[in-house]
Amino acid sequence: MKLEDICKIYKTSKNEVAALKNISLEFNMGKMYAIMGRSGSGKTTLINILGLLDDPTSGKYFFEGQDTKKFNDNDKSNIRNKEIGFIFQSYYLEDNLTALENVILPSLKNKKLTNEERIQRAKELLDQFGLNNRYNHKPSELSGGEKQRVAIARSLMNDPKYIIADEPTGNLDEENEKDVFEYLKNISRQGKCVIVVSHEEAIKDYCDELYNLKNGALDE
Amino acid sequence: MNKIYIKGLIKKKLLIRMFIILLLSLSLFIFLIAYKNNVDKKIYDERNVLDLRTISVTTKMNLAKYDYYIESYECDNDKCTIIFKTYILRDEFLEKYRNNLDNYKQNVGMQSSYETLLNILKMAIIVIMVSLIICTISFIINYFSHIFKTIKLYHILGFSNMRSFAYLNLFFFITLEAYSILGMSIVKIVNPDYILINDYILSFIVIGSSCICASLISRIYLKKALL
Repeated sequence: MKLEDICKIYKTSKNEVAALKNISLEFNMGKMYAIMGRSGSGKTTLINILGLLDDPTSGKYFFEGQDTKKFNDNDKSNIRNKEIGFIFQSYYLEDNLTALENVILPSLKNKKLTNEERIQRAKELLDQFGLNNRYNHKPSELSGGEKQRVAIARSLMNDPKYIIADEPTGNLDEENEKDVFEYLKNISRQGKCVIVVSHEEAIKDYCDELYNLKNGALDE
Repeated sequence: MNKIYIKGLIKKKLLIRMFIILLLSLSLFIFLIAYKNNVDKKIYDERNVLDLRTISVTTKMNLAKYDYYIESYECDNDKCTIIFKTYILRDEFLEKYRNNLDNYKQNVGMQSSYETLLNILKMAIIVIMVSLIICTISFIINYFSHIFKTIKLYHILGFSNMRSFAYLNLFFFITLEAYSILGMSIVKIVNPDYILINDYILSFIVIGSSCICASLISRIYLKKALL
């Protein structure tokens, strides 16, 4: 992932707000990156652009060497599904599905997999995060830490190269926070690129590189 | 996508629960309308038996002009005894021309213990209605938050067919609304005197029921749309 002079401007009827100003960054495989900054500094906007959920107003974003301006909605959907795993503060789990079904969800688009393979992989992931006794529990029956572990397992279901986590520990206590950062660190050690947005100081102990955002610009 | 997995996702339990909720809501809805109508009918019958269509008043009005309301009348100077066609029309007449009527007196039996009991029952129905409205509001909020959250989640996860899902769901919602309004209109046209529960409350319940149905349909469709 490579960003060159990325700007994002939100236009309102009265004025323009620059959420991101000339951001140039590069994210490489096998590393864990932390993006820190105060509320309103542009962290989520940056994450949305990196995750192909939003487009920059100007500048270039290269994903795997390809300019993302050339991608249509379908291409972006496919990349989000296969190449990027998302983790959110509010977990974003489907309430009507069990933990196992939630983890399986992203893989339903991949028609090459058989059901047995999907279930097997989802179980392996849940086991990896200590949820082997929670397969058939719905999100409402899980604790905050467990929900976030299900969300992490789901983000890994399609074996993506990139993991984007937006305040993954925002709703968790200190112990669960440590666990989540540890899990993310381990994922980066497996050769994946992990990008974490957080305002927790603890992230500094786990990340390989740290970027600070201040009023939409990188704070050197 | 493999159909076996669809069966796994759309759990029988979930479906059964959905249908039970739907049936209960509909049963309660129908029961309330039927019950309210029955209560009104009883009041109507009772009043007719007691000949409550008759009133004694002092008035200088030309009663012959009001044959839409009045079945017959007898006047001695300004003092008249009027028999209305129905008690509903009597109430309407009294409401409209109260200022022209003096010494208005209804026949005996107006405040019988039976009627007091009916009034208490009416109050109970109003309480249930208020509870239903509160439930309806929560269902409406739940429905829309579910739809928006779901669309966002699947958009993030890279399922591009979610836009069609949103439109289809909205289509279900509008169709259900249209059917409900049509049903209400037909009832009103066929029998204008048919007293439904306060129309505003009923509209609210109709919107709520549509939300519940659309929500149930969306949950089933959602899983099918993905597979």
